[in-house]
Amino acid sequence: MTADHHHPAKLAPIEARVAAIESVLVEKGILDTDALDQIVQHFEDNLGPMNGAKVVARAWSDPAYKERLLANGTAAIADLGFQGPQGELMVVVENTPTVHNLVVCTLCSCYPWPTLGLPPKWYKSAGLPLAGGA
Amino acid sequence: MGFQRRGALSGITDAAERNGGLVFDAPWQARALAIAVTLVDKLDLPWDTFRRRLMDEIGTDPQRPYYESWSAALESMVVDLDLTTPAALDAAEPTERAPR
Repeated sequence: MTADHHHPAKLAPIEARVAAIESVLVEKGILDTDALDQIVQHFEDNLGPMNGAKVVARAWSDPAYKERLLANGTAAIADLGFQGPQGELMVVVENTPTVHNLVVCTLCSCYPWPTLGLPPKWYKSAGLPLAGGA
Repeated sequence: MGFQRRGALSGITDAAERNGGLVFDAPWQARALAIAVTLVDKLDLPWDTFRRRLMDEIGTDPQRPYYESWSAALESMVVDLDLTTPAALDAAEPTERAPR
C-alpha cells in the first residue's frame, strides 16, 4: 500500500510525534534519514545473541581469552569486534557449579546491545525485577 | 497506510523475532531508538543524557508501554537541548520517506 502524496494517511499520535521529532532534527541538519535507516539496519543485521555466543565460545576454547574477558569484559569483547552503544561498560561473570548469576533489568535501557542485540519485551516488563527476587 | 517504510524498518520485526521475542511492535519504535542513538552520538553526549530521562519517564509511569516512555524521554531531551519546542513539534510535518 503506497502513501498518496496528496492525502497522507493519518498517523497515530505517538507515531506522529516521533516523526515530528525526526522531521525537526532533519530540517536542522542534525539527522539524516538514510543514516537513521542504516542504524536500524545495523541493529537488524549485526546485533544479536549470535555475537554473545561467539564471545562465550571463544572463552570456552581459549583460557587466556577467558581470563581477559573476566578481567576486562569491555576490551575483550571489543577484541572480537563487538562494541558500540551500550557496550561501553561490559562486565562478564562466570557461572560455576556453586554460583549461578542472574541479571535483572533495571528498566533504564541498560542491555548489552553489542553482544545480545536489543532487549526482548519480556526483559522490560515492570514485573521482571520482582520475579528475579522471588 | 501512512508513509511507506519498507526495507530496513520492515525487516526489523523479523530480526527481532529471531532475537528471542518481538522487540518492536511498529517501525516508529525502531525510528525512536535510532534517533536517540544517533543524536547522542552526533552531539557527542554521553548515553546517560538520554538514559536518565528514560529512567525518569519510566519511573513516572511504569505501566506505560516502553517505547512511549522512550519517545517521551527523547522529546524531553531535544527540548532541553534547545533543539526544538513542543509547539514546533506540534506544527511539524513528518519527513516524507521515499518508497524502497
